[in-house]
Amino acid sequence: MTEEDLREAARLLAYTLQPRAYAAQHRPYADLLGRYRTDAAFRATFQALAEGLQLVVLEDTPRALLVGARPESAFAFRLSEYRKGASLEQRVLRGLILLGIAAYCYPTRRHLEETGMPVFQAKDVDDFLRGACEQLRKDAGDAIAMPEDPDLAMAWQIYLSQPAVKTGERRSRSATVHIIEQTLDDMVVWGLVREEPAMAKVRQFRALPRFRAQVREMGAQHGLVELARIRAQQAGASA
Amino acid sequence: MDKLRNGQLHLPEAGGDDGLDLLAEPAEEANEVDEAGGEGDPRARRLRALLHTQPVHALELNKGSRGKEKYEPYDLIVLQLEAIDYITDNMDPARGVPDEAVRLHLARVAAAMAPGRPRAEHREVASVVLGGIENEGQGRFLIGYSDPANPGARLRTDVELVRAVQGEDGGVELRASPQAINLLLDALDHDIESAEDAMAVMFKIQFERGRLSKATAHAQNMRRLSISYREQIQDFLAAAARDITRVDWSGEVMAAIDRAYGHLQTRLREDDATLARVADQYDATGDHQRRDRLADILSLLQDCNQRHRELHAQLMTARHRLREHHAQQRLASPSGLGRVDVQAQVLQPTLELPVRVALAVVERVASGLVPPQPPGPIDLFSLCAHLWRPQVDREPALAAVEDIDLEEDRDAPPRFPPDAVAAARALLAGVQGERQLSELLAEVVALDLPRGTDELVALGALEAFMAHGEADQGEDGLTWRLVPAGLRAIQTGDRLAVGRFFGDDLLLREDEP
Repeated sequence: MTEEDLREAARLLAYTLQPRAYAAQHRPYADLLGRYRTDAAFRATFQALAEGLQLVVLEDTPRALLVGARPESAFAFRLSEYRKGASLEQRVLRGLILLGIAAYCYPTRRHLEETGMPVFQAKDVDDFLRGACEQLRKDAGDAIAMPEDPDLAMAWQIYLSQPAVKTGERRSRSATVHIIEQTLDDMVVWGLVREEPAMAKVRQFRALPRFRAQVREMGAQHGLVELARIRAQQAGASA
Repeated sequence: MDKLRNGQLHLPEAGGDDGLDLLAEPAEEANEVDEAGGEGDPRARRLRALLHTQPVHALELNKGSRGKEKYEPYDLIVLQLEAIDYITDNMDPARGVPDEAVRLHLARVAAAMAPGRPRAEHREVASVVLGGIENEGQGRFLIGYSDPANPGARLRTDVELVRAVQGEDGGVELRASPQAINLLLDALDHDIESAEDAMAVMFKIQFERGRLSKATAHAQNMRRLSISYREQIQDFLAAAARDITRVDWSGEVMAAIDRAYGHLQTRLREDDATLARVADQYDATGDHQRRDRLADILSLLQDCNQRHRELHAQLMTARHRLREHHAQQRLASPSGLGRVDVQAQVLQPTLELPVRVALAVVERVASGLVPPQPPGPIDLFSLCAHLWRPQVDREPALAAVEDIDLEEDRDAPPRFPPDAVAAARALLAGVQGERQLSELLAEVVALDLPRGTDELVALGALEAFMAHGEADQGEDGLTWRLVPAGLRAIQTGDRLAVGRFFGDDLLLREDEP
């Protein structure tokens, strides 16, 4: 491996850190991607470089090389730093919405294996999440009230405590459909979804293959691991 | 997998698989069984063929719900077929057709159906049709029905008409599925390999009998079949590459590829013979009209032939590529977790958690869902906005805040007993001329001075080592100073090792007056 190889690998890494860059738009990217896909030594160099930065190759396609960040990476997205100053409720809500969009687009492992690029509206995601929460409310007995102290609430109660849309003259900042739309706007910037032509003045979005790769290779796994850790902790506490 | 086991590459009609999908069915669909039998049952096949047109009809039948008057002039079935036709004609092995191009084309057709209506409406109709045929991006339509052999049991079939794929430039492109192409062939439940052979035979018969218009129609169908076949083989190869570790790749998949390869070799041989025959007639005939017909047929057949050649070349390399893929996938470290049902295994349990615990989960998930975020430079605008933001009333703390008693606890024993402080001060005050710190520390031990005196002497030496300005604390300093004014410490380069104390020894010296 020469210094030049290392430089090239770093240049490829720089392209992969632009989630909306595609090889067909940048000639050098296409060349580097071609090299990555055919030259095993170069691939190993790139992977070593990425690994050092706690980045992982999620998928390589002829369009782009998809890279994800491990939670401990300096490049990792942190919900706590996303739209700073948000209250606990708001942060949970935003996190649930991100997870909800993923679950709406790819509810089962089969959806994660297929190649569909689902088209949807913010309202679809809200209906989906709200439906799941309503079911939990029913299971818990409808009488159960949202505690005064939000810290004592269940995640589903937090979701249900926010209106879907505000019917007053101003749109409420905490209405869930509004937050979902805001999140989708961010997801457009992150290269995960694309905005489609509106239908009857309602904004439409389409999930892109990168989103599937992120969900399949990282997001869903992280969730599973964290839930398993919590269960083990609870089992330990009750034992 | 049925299609492999049966020793034939069939249209993706059985098993609801687009190839080699061996994954478990989602829980909510478990009460309906994927059709497994019925492959040989002509009634089941006919029924499925009928059901596969359901999505096309559904859009037209439900158009009233979008506004009865508004959609009246638009025939959504025709528009859907138009879309499939347009996509089929314009896609090639590497690229689909940009969705915007299809939308524009459909808007033009819609405009012809309702010329007086606004252009925005034509575009909306085009979007509705596109959304319809690609099932809002999901591609596959799942259709439940009763088993004709056992009407109590529910079966499930699926059909895919148009699939959205991401193009090389990141844009969205559409591809027609073999099933959709077959819609244009008025036949839905075909085995394409035998259909291609049969169509070629029919073409030959019509052509030799001189029925050129019928021969042209067959040639058109042959062209569509060849596109359909290419799509099917490509799907198959993609599925094989994706799931190669989960199938008997050296057995069934390879056998299927060999068979397809054999089929293409036969086709190429016959294509050549047919092309030669048509070309001969073309050269021989003097009739202009007939020549035009023959030229059309020739171009259709050449198109088929070209596609068969491409596919043939692709299959030649397929075996090699699949082996390579297999090696890569074996080298890749297994995640050890397998695939996840996001809704049932992640979302549902998270919603049931107390809010703080749920936050921990969604934080982890979010870090995995969002691509790497390059740590960007501070944006001056947002920094200013942050600094100048109006003060907001903070929400009350989430947990009760305990008042902490900050009052000094006067009963707590002082760190150093007063007698030790007095002893240390006396010892340091007694320094005349020069004394090594190590000597003083040894003296503390020898005189058996109170506990803590040694530490205070060492501190005093350090205090003396400090520069004048730092050490001089004015009046306040008097309460804590250990060394008398005028006592300085300097480094001698000797090492100190007395009891617990290690480091540079210091020389304490009275300042020159």
